[in-house]
Amino acid sequence: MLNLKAIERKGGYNFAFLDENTKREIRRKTLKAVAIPGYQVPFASPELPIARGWGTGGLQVTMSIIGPDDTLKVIDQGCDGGVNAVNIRKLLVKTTGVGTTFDTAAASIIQTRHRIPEEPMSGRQILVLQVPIPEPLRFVEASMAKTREMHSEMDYSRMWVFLYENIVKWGEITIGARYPSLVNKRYLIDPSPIPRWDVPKLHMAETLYLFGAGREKRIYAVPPHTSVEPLEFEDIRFRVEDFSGKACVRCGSDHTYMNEIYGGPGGGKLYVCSDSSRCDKLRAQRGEAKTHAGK
Amino acid sequence: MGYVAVTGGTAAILRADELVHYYRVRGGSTPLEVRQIRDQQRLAVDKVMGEGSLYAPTIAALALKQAEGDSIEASFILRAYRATQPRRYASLAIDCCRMQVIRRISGAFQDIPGGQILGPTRDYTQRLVDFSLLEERESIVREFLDRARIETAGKALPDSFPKIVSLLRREGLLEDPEEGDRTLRDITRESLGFPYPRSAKLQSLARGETGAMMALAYSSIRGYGDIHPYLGELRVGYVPMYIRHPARPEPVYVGKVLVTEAEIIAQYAEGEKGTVPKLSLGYGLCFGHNELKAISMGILDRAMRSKSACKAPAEDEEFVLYHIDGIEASGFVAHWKLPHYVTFQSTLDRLRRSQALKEESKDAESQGD
Amino acid sequence: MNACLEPAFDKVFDTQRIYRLMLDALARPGKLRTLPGLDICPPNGLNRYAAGLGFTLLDSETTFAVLPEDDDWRDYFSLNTGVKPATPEAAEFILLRGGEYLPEIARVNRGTLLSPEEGSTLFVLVDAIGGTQPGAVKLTLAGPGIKELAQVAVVGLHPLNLAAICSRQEYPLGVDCFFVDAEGIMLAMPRSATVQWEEVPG
Repeated sequence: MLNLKAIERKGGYNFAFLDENTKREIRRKTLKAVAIPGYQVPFASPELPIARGWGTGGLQVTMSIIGPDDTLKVIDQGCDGGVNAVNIRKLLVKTTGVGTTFDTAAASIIQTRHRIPEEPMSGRQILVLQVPIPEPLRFVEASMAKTREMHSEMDYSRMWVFLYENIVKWGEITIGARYPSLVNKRYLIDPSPIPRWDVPKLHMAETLYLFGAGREKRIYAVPPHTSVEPLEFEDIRFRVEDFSGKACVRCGSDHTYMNEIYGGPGGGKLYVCSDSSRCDKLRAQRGEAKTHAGK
Repeated sequence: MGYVAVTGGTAAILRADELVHYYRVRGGSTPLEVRQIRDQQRLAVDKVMGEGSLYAPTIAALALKQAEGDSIEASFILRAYRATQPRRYASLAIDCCRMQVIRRISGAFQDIPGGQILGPTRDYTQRLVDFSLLEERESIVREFLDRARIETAGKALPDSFPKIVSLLRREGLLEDPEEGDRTLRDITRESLGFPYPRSAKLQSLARGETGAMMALAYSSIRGYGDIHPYLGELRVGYVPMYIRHPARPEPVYVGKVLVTEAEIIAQYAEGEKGTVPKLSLGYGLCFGHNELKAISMGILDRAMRSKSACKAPAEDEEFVLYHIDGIEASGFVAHWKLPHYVTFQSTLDRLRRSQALKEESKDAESQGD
Repeated sequence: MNACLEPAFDKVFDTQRIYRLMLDALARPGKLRTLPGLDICPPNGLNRYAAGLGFTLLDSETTFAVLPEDDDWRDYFSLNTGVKPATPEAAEFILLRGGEYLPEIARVNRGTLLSPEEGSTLFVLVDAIGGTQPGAVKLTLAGPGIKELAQVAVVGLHPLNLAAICSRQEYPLGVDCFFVDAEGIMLAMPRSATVQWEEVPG
């Protein structure tokens, strides 16, 4: 049995850093976010010892849900070993003492920036996404007061016009990541800067997805078994990134999201999995144990 | 499951921490005492307290030392520290009429009741490099302090001065304070939608970044806006703070803080139908001695109340309040240093697709010829 | 005031455990979760599991009402959490006895289109969740968080209360409910759920 009192004040701070009043406020707002899928709930968002824009919203959500029995995984760009992931994990471990893992399947809470893990997640897990810009309508309207009205009336016409003009100009919708998607046929969300590759994973999933935007002070959610539809036209469909003919140089996978790097002989291009946990598992299956996360 | 060691990232971060420490002290000179910063870098400390929104001179000075003089970094450290502090009481509203002023001027009137008090200002000092400070010694400082103490003795200022704006108001030249939401909202405890209640507007401005506020206020007075301000009164001084304590019937004195207050008198307001035109007021107040910030705040407070149909940036409340916070702005501008491999890959995918489509349509055109 | 302080309630870890159960229940309407037994003694027949929900979410920055009005219950929460009493129309959180017909439910705050999150949260006390005795109400839920349909019977929930809640849900406006029974079984019914019900004949 864990000695709860002993870990209550880690390093002079409350368990999970935030004071209980702040946690309660985030918890209340998170519950409303779950009850109204895709709606951006404003919250007070106090400062953290990590800079605004560097994952404070995700951290606040994680700090408000995490308990001593949780197993935590933190990734940035899909990788456990990135400096920002390390820094966020360090702060959470220092103030909670929870166990951590690189294994997607072993984690109860995963905090992430820019990726949803490749391995399917279960109903026992929560994915917390760090969000820089929570407002999908920012593409067409800068004022939060105005976009709030547009959401209230479900007036997404300017977004449709924007996509249409995109097609007229470029022959294709040019949005790479942050692809606007309609949740539960009611609210348009910015799914955070995940690639289009990851957007289908939000649709009718087993897992609860919580989105925290600290600087912009918004929390929103996609509950499990909830429809998430990327905007598309009859004749121009939503399409994920194309990696046909490419394979990861480490694990050989040809069906994961990859980063291209100029690392081949003579400056040639190589492809490598962005999800380090998945890549390591595939390598282990092939008998190569060296970890990718720590590189 | 125990803690899993992370190799590359952890080692790099630890090394970076060490290097930061090294670069701060590598010159080998005597380490700065926090007290020296607090006393001799007074204006930097005040700026950090204002932008960090915590009145704590010693901790602000320590933050400046830790941040190697970077005021935004120091403000951020102070703000994050503030977020962990319990809030036991809310002070009663301070009364700047009871300010012990160290400086008090008006740009609108040649003479004011109580007189203009120049106080410690560089306004009329030629900005020449003072080479004598290269050789400043403790003995010289001590000698100067002894002499100065003698010269200012017996010239104590009165405890309070009447406000210039109250004189204007008495004469019916200045509009009355706006009605509306008089309750005190706490922007650190609740999230508010626009338009902000006035108390929330002033709180946001009071913890804004001096440079950002100055740039926006400057844009307004240069012509992107139309408030044509005068500096009614600028005060710098100490105000007493009181709280209510459940065990005492009277307010309890808890200390005094140094603040700068600016009252900006602006172009008379477009009077409602049938009302007499009057001058209007913009209000600026911040921790410490920071005149540029207080004046900028007063200008922005007034500019944001503009009823003009086509709003200049400084008149757009959402634009101003979302962009003046130094901690938020610096964090997001700096976040582009973080890896964006995944999103960039996604952008490349779209670009190649667009290029391919252009090539296809060019080919189709040339085949059609 | 009969209310007493509950020093045994752990504000850090009990609230965290209860909150995670609430979050899971709300994200999966119809899924039953069992609340932990707490070492507290609420007044006047108030069940300690429901008290735990209140301790988890209420504080001096929130408002609260009890239906039907019960000063002992109200004072107990005020003393232990600092929550401010409010009318049922204005309260952010409302604790109600589900078995008694409560016409006030028709007037609780459902939020606005600009701020639907202002719709209140209801803690509804019922006798039993999961039973099928005569007089039980059998709920069928669909919507976000539910794979196809979720069915659960609730004993001690007045059908008119349920009707008052459901007939006024006009998504995204509405209220979000946590039902709690005497054994600590909890069931959530967010406004996003579409609800059908029938009474189990007696």
